[in-house]
Amino acid sequence: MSLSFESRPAYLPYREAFDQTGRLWDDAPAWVAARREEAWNRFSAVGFPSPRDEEWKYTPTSAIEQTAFRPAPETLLVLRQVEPFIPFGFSGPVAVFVNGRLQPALSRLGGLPEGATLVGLHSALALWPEELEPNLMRLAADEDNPFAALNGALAEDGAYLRLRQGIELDQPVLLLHLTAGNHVPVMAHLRHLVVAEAGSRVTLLARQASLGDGVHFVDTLTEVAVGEGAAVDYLKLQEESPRAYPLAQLRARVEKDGRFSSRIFSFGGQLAREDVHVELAGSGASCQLDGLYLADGHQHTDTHTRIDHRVPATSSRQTYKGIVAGRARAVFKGRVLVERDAQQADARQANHNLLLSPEAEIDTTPQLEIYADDVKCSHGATVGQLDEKQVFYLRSRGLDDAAARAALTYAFAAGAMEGAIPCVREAVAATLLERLPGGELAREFFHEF
Amino acid sequence: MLEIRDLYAAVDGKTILKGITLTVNPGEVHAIMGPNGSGKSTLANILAGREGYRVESGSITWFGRDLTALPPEERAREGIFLAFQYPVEIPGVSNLYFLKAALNARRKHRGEPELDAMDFLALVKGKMADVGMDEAFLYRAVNEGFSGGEKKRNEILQMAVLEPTLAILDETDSGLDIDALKAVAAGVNRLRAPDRSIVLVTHYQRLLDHVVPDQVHVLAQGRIVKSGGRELALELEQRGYGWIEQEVAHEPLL
Ligand SMILES: Nc1ncnc2c1ncn2[C@@H]1O[C@H](COP(=O)(O)OP(=O)(O)O)[C@@H](O)[C@H]1O
Ligand SMILES: [Mg+2]
Repeated sequence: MSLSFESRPAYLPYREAFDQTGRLWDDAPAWVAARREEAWNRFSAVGFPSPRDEEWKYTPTSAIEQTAFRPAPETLLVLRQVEPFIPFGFSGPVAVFVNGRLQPALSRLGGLPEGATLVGLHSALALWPEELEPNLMRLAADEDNPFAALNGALAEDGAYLRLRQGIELDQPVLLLHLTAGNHVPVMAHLRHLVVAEAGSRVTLLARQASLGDGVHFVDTLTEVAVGEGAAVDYLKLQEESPRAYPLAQLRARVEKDGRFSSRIFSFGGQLAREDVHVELAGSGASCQLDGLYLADGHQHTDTHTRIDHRVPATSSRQTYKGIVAGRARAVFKGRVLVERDAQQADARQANHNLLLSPEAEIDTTPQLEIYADDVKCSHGATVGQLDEKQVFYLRSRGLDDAAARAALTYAFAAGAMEGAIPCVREAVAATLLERLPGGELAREFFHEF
Repeated sequence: MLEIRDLYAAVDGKTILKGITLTVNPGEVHAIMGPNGSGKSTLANILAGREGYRVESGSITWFGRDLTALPPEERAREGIFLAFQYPVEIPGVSNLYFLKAALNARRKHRGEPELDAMDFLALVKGKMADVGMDEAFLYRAVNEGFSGGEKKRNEILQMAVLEPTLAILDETDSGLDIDALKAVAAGVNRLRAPDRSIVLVTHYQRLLDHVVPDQVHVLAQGRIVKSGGRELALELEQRGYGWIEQEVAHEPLL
């Protein structure tokens, strides 16, 4: 019989953090305080997930609970520290967050065309409270993920990106979050809201990293409303330090004929988890969820996707790839729910994994729940090793064994970058070459011409 | 430069080669013929150092050194090249980067400066013209989606770029149309030099019309059962392998 969260040692610091964070929202409308309170109550009722919880049985969050995280102190950085994280050649709008807070001086929030807005959540609430009210902490309100509740209670800041009807942004928008601090374990909670009105189109690039190799708990929740016929492409690069705990949730609701895509590159963290939940709410809505996760050493990486086909004629595609080395462990769980009315749903899911060491482990579980009868659904999962015929072919031309393996590993990963915007591909490739086992050796195969 | 003495070798624990002796001197072209399953590819793979192919007894020396002690990549850098009977597809690795890495590994081994991207491009484009390959193949993944003939041409391109000291072609001529066959033959002839040698594993006389061998060997049941000049290839073409296998059947096996 486990103790209630209220009577556990972790309770007090989180309660203190909740009270402390509350002061940041003093000027916000009353409904914000009410939703925070509601979120806190939900979190404190359940606390951290238990390993008995089916959704969390492979994800050991006890280390997070047992670490005394303090809210990350406000930290000022200079542009020079931020620049390496802005992809080369990227000239669009940028919102920079450090330790959970927007840094206007380091950001480029202006310059968007009429009808497009990128601001911090606090400003947005001051300017357009009634516009945020239907969406903020509402799109994800039904998540039973305890970290959704925790995020609702402890979020300090976030970005608000809104596109009016028919507005198309050619340049992607970058949301950058850096966590700094090496001495004590710190936590940061960030909440973004993206509202793409009917017929609008935007590409969003989210990047998160650590400055230094401190122990951080970084909890991010992004809510995305995709209007009728709108298109939102979300790309994410998570490259936290190997000691960090990045947990992220992405929740999108797609209306009639809307299109949502996400492509998540998850490379860092001792325990990393990405939850993606898309609701196809209008007929003709579609989504494409792709990703690449990498785990080496003692890392644990976890991807949980969920797609709700709620109405007729919706389609979803998923392609996730994973590379697991060392003593690392990866989990992929892809859940597709086709509701009774969602006839002609078309759902395909694939998860391909490369295991690079005998101690590495992967658990992959597709989960199709189909309540309609006229549907097309497929899923496939593979777990394999490098092809020794390919290794030999490369070696027989003079490449040494390690270089051959590195090249093949990189080639496996590179498929996940295909079609991404060039500056993102470059950034992902650079991080991959840094972090892949033998990545340095693979460099000459992929970078130079 | 290559000396194989009384070689016994096994694949996955099964003895396939049963006492092969063969000397290849600089500048020579040897043809190895023989029925399916006689051990031709096994011999080629043993020379290239493939895992799972184990020398049980006998020796292979390369310029006086024990070749079997070298891992495959060292053999390649030393100038041994095997054009595979079934080239492997390698999605995600471009032909261009692959070829450049391979050539530079060999150059580095020989103490030569590595080629930069520009010099390499110039070199490889020249070689592609020789082999009759479109430059678009440079930017495709190694062998991925190539037709059978394109894969064989790609092997010849690699050979042309790497300029091996010993090239072993394992049925590179099989399944080729006449144009592709001529391209393969021309590639081999361009490589010929007093300090280079070539071993052609083939079923057909027609390649030997274009590349004239110094010696022809017939492999059957893991042994070289007959050696001769190019007339032997013609005789095999006319009479098949049956008569040789019968001759062998009457000899005592070791
Ligand atoms: N991996 C293997 N395991 C067991 N036997 C093999 C393997 N590869 C080839 N062999 C056998 O070795 C013999 C020689 O094969 P191979 O060298 O490919 O002949 P060839 O190239 O002359 O047609 C054949 O009997 C074949 O079945
Ligand atoms: Mg063969």
